[in-house]
Amino acid sequence: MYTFTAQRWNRSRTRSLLKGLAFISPWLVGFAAFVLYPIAASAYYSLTRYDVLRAPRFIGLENYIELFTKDEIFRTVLSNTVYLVVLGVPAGLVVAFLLASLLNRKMKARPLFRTIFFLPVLVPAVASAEVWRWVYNTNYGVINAMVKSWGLPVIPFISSMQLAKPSLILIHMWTQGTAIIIFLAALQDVPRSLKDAARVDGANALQRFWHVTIPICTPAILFVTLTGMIGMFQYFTLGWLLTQGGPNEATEFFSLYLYRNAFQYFKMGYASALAWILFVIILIFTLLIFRSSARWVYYAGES
Amino acid sequence: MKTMDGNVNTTTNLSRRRFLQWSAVGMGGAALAAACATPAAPAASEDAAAPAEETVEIAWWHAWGGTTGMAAMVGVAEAFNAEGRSVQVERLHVPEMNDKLLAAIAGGTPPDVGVCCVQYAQLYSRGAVMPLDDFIDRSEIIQHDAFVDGLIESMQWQGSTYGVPGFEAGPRYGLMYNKALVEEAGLDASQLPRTWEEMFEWHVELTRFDDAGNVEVVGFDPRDATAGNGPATNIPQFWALTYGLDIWDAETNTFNYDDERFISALTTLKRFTDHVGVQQMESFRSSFSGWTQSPSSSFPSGVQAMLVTGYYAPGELSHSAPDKEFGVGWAPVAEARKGATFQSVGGHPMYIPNGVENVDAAFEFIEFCTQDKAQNVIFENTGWLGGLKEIYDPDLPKYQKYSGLDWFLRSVNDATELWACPVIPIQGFVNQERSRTYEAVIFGDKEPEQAAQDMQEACTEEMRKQFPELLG
Repeated sequence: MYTFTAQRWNRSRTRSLLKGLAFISPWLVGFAAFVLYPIAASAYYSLTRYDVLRAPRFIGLENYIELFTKDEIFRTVLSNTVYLVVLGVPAGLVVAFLLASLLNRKMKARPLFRTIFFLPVLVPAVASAEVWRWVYNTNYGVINAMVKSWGLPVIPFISSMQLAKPSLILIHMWTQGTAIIIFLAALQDVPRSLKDAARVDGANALQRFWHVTIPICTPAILFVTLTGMIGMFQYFTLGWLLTQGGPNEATEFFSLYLYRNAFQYFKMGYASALAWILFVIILIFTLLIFRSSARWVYYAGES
Repeated sequence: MKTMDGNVNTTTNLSRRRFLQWSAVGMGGAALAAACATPAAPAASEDAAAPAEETVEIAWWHAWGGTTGMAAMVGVAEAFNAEGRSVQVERLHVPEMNDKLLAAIAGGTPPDVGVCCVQYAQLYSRGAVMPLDDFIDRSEIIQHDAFVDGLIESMQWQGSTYGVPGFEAGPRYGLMYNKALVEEAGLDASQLPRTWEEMFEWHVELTRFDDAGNVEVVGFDPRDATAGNGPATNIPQFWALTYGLDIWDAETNTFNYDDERFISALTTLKRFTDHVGVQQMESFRSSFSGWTQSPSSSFPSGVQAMLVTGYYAPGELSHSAPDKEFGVGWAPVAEARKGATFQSVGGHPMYIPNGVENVDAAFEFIEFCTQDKAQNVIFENTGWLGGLKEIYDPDLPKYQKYSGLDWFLRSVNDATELWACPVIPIQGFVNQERSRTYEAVIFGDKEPEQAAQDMQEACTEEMRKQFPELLG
């Protein structure tokens, strides 16, 4: 049993603390100037009518009230974003895990396949958008050219209200290289002894995968789910480049709407309120996932 | 450390504590010195003779890029710098300029001169750019009345002028058509449609589908090019004007979107879309993109027969579709206005943000850009005009270079109506609402009456929030 003895604060410890603070002061200054101040400023601006070019006008909670009671587009934006998160994150996760499992098997040219699956992560978003624009193009796209040659109606991937979001999710599934690497590391950490024990107990391959491999990988799954969820709530680049929020606001996501308010309408106060709402939503989802993790995440170090 | 006898002493008595103290003193002193320092002056010895005239360097931001646009910008900067003036310009291509300019102005580091593609009216109305009337009054090169009617007015807010037309300004509306497609459809190009009823008949004749029902050629896309744009200080809102409606009342700072004519315009817009099918039209638009600059756009690539567009299209088409022939005539109007011919001259202003120090130098560059030397560089590379009345002579030899350009130039004088572009202080919001309203109607989410009413309410409410003082 450890006993805790309070150490007396003396001049030496003060000096030590000051030295420590002096050494990390560049970081502290940077953190205060570029993180703390913007956070505090955006909290204040969210309570104002502010267009950057004129002085902010304090309006209390009016921005928030308007967002929740009057702004119809906000509801559309919220529903589009939740759709993307609820379907996109699990879809990306499943694809990444399955691909990582495949890449974890002994096979020829394994490093080559691993590189190929990671490549989409390295492709700049603008280049990705152009490639996918061509893939999805209804007139000369690689898929629809075939469809047309068979005498069938083309598939309006990103120009249909129903298909636009799933088509963007498909692109998201293509860019799972980072998650694949994380899962691959987790899969390589699965103890062989556990698999062997399960085999001795008569478990088939699927049962071993379900009851041994996946539980051991749940910490990695939790991490990928959390980071994927946060990234998906902030989804912007491909949506902006490929659909600009259309057709008919089918892909108007949270970050797009925030950007539009800030830089097209010069409504920085309203955009700040949107940013804080997004923060709270992400926080709630994160807490929910964390709380649920006690039921499904297995940490080998815990008894 | 070197001792008096010249030997190197490798020991030191500097403790960590002392080191930190001296470091703190040194950093504090440096910071103090930096804070008190005057702006860096040109390094020159006192003995050296001062130059006859100090060279001032100004920063110029432009959003236009692309092959032709960039060539024009580079050419203008080089032409200016080659003049041997005491002002030199440093050019910077700034895509997505709206965001960056806003941040630069707010941060106190704006460029000396800007041109293109920001929410101009929003900058004017919020005092973010400088009034230029005093400079224009003093100028021997630029005069208020030197520009085409209505153009300088589109760069004014509450009586002050915030921009000067320089790089791109001109007539915004002409109905261009693909001669081969019109001929194939058996239509008479000498009798172009003058009303939307007649236009719809052409649209039906020209639109073609394949056996699977996929659209192959669209007669007319009512949301392409200038037909689908505005309202902004450089392009009005076409669908309102064609019905004879000015959507913005500058006297009262109010909107007229709930007017019957706007509802009729929305109904017509939907009718054209419905003939193709909203899904087909949307796919077509996303496949080919629009306007005339790119060879892969629908009109240059020959899969769209008619287009409402501006004077720059002949020049752009000569590059993007050199193998095709195009004609041009008046844009159609509502049945009730049959016989009316309308035009609007809009343009991108050159402006000087507030907070700029080299204002005279910045204005000197603006003056240069409005004149022949710069204008010729711009025209040669892009086919763009600058808005001066004196260059609107359709018979000038250089204008014969692009087929149809002379029609646009003549149209300014021939039109029965010449509309000015509206200066709406919440331009970005209204523009997005326009796009939203069109989509809500063509996708069938709202009836035109409801959509018009909603747009009127949304824009009025936004105006009340952002400029309550203007609504009385």
